[in-house]
Amino acid sequence: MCSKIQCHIIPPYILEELAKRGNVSCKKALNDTHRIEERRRFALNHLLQREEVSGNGSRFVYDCKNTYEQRVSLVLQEGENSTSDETTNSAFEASGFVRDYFRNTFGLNSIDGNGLDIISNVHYGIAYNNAYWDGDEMTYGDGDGKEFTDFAKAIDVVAHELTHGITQFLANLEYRSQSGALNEHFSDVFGTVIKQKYLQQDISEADWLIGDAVVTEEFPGIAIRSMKAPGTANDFDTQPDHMDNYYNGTADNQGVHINSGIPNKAFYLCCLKMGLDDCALLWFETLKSLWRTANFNDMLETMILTAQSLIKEDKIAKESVVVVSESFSAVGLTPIVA
Amino acid sequence: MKYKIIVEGGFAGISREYEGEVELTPEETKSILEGMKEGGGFQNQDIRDGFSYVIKIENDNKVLRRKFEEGNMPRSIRNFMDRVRQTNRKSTK
Ligand SMILES: [Zn+2]
Ligand SMILES: [Zn+2]
Repeated sequence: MCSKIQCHIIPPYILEELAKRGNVSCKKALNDTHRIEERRRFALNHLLQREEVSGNGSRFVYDCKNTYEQRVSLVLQEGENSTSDETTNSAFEASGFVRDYFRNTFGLNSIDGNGLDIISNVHYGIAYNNAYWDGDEMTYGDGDGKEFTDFAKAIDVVAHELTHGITQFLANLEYRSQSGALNEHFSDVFGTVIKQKYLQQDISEADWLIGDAVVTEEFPGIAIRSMKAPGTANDFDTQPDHMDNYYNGTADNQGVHINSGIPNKAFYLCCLKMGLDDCALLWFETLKSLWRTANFNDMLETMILTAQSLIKEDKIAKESVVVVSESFSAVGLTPIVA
Repeated sequence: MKYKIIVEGGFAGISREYEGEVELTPEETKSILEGMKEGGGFQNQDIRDGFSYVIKIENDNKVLRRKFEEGNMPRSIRNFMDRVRQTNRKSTK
């Protein structure tokens, strides 16, 4: 079989095929190859700008002071008390909650499993209507106050962005087309799971909305996305909830924030029958087995295999395979169950 | 100077379009044209939920069109965009 050393000289398309067949070292080599390439490019760019602080999942919050620069002024760090700025405090508290959720639930040591420091930038830009993950840190805008408000104050937004970091290190799902929609999907999944934990909600009380706290009353909608009813969160929401309405266009990196509605809906359906915690475990373990170019069917196949082993280990209910199959069939993705 | 700016992607995945014409000083025009020429170098492949910016400028009957990402958006174009955003708001998906 394929040893780790051999993997690095095998062309990516063969690694991909082997990864699909469950070869973990090939999957790792495949993801690493791209990651190393990207890291190198990234490191070169950042080399002259900043020195990386190594740590053990410690939080650092920087105030960008409404410029378009990151890490302008360090305003709060692990072990310190809160500041007079609510946005700073929220980013700090929420990122700690997310970190602790992954650590206490799955034993994951920070974003990379290796104690990476958790860096948040707040007050980025002017009336900036966005939040993003850039490969090593999170950045939040204040919103324009007309349609969007403070992105750092929403637990699901913070969890969504931090999960992009986790996905980068676990599976490095390529940010385009179906692998990109899966990347978005996993961020929404843990965004909504962690929001429910944070609000101490039962799945029946949960709204399954993403970004409801960052839209204003003037915004034409109640949230940015809905996992329960994709396509209904606002006037611009074109998320499909079934493969029949799959978006085939080129916008949004071939629909990464659009087609994620399909697996999002399947996740919601699964949760109704399996419960939030079993689903969270199944999705997390599945993510660990995915690879850069995995598509919807690859994920489903991997999820079924993962569910089968979790059932064997008595970690999730034995009906789980059937529930997963039914939930995904309902959105037009039918697995082949062995 | 005529402009058309499309902001795409981001956490919300909602596109925004700004289009119009502005009077600029020669210095302002110069810095925008420089940004259009010089920006857009390094692209950070690890950005998730980052905006992308499609900028079209028409000046002296010459049309310039460039696409920038969050990480390589020139400062002069950002400043210009912030100015335009104050006065002109229109959204599409
Ligand atoms: Zn960074
Ligand atoms: Zn995202």
